[in-house]
Amino acid sequence: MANLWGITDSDLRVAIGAILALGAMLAGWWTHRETLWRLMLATACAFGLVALINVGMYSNHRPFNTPTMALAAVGIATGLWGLVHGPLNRLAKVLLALAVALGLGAFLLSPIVTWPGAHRRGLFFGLAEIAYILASAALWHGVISSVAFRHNRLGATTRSASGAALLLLTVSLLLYGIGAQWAWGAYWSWEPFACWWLATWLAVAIAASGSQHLGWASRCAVFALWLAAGFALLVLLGSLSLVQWLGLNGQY
Amino acid sequence: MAQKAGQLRLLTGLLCPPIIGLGDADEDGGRTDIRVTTVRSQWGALVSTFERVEVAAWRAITSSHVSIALLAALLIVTLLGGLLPQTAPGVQPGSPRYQEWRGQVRSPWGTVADALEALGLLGVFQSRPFYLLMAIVAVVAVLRLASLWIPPWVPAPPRRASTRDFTLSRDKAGAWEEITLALRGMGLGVVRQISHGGAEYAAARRVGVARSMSGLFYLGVLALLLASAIEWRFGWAGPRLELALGETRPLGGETGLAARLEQIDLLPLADGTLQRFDSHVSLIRGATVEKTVTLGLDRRAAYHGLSLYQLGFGPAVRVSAQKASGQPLRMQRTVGDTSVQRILRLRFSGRQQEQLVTIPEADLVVRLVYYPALPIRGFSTRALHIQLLRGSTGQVQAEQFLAENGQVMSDDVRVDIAFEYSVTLRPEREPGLPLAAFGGALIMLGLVGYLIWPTREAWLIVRQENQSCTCQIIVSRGNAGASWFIALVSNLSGGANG
Repeated sequence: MANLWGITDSDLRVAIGAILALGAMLAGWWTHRETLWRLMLATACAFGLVALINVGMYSNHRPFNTPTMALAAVGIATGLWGLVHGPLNRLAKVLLALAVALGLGAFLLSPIVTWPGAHRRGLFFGLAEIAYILASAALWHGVISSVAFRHNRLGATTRSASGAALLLLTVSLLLYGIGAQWAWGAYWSWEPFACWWLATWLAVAIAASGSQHLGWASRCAVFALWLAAGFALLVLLGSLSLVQWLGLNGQY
Repeated sequence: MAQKAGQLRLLTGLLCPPIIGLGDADEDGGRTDIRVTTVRSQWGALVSTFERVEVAAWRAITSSHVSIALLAALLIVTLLGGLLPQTAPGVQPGSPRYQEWRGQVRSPWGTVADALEALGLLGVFQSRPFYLLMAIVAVVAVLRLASLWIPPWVPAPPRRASTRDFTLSRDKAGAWEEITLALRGMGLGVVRQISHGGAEYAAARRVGVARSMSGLFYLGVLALLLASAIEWRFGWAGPRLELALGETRPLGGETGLAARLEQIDLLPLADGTLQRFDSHVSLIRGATVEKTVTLGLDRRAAYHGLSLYQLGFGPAVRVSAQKASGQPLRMQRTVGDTSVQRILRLRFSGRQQEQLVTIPEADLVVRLVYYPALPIRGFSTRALHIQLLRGSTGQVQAEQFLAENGQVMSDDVRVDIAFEYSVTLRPEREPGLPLAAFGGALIMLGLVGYLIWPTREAWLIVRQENQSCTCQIIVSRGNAGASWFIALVSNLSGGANG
């Protein structure tokens, strides 16, 4: 519900989340007290999550059809990965808080930028999108860790990021298949939107196979992780609009 | 550069064990990178050639290069599917449905569509190269499954490998005991071992559930491919059925059933989209209603092995006419079901946005054109253009644009229009569905297994020299820096020092 100035409760929560994330950035940079940083970032993520869930429940906005919502969701999930997974140094703390702040900031500035056209709805499609976002965030958490821990732990970073992303993308594809089976009776029909989803899985699988072959700590493995993270985010932000712009939606 | 003079026999080979030699090597901080090559067999040139081919094929199938190449090929095909229009499954080129679809594609794509069609890019997923790719995926999955689940079928050491050398101050039996113990500590076990030329050669890999779990991924891939083949051969998908309220249409195929839409329940959201859209459909055989089922946006119905899906919904209108005195007038469609009725329900779809209805008693024709949106007339959402024409002359008597329920008058005749919905259904038989679900679960389990227990493989050569044994451990270069390999070498080196 909006107040006199047109500010909704969700806007307020996102704004508080973004401010807290900026505070976490400063806390991560200036102090060595990890507890303060954790508390601020966790609260920022909680405010952001509540706002996104609220928007998602009462509107047609979903991460795949609302790019700023996608950025916010990936930012929050990256922050949560950092809180859960660790370990942390000063640079990692700052970058993780920055990811949350950027995501929430983007959503705050333009929360209603939505790609036109129909989007899949339903429980399983929603869960599939959540799994996709967690996968994308796992990759970006890996990217941040690879920057923050350039000289050690690279192997563990690339392996855990690729592994978690591959697993979550598999979950998201399976959920998408279940949703498609319930919705139109074909768990897989090579429809263009699903093709982009599968393309992300394949890109991450290629990155993981290459990294395993060349060594998880190699420079190529880090490069592959960056590429996979970029591809996953691009698909999240632009696949639906591209499919609709090309006039492919609704061919099936 | 140091020359390694080992000969490694038996570590692979399904029918007869080939001989593998260790080529040039580079020393790097205790670790040695080597090039593994096959060398001439002692059984003659023909056997040697067979062995080399076998090793090369086996090594290729189990190598990361093949995985990456297959994944890359699938990625290219998938990207084509995400960028170019593709024919729907089951639509044969040249069929009326294909021609209709081609016309829809030509509208936005223009002559590019012709070029894409000539290149075969409009049916990538029904092309022979794609089927060939799927066949290769199936073969590779079978062989990898065999390599994981049949212990003696050990893959050949990769062509580019790393090796670590150390000496154990024990006899051969004692050395093997220590090596086996160290391997077990890393979750590995010796799966193949022979003696040759005074040396012991062995291949070690994960044992038990840790090795088997990864294989479930390949089993899952095979199950999915098999499910697709079963669906293609034995499955059936009926035509899309568009039904207005009260309308009856046959399901098609050999079902002998017809479907009639009895009722629609809908629950709209605040933003105009629908939270629920349920349709109640009667399945009719002859004149008997066999069952009434409820379908929804994510809710299917099943009846005697037949699944019924609600693919979507569309616009429809209810039309009735009466004289000013209240006397109802009978109407009939101009095409399709031309029976005379007092109330008509008309569907509008992508194929048919215009409907014509005659009112013979009033010499009137009602022309209805549906627009999803008509901004030029100020309608941002649906709009219906209604014209009443004199049947004998074709002259327009009255016309009106409606966005909500309403009526159009001409002299003493009033035509009432009410907006309704139609639904689109599809009947299917899906014999491969349980297998596909099983395959999906196996893929998930296999992936979890692989992430918990990633592949670990090592090849060993042990030689007795005086009172001690020299030991060589070979792993792929990607595993040279792995913690398990470092720990294994550390354990064995500690034993050697001790």
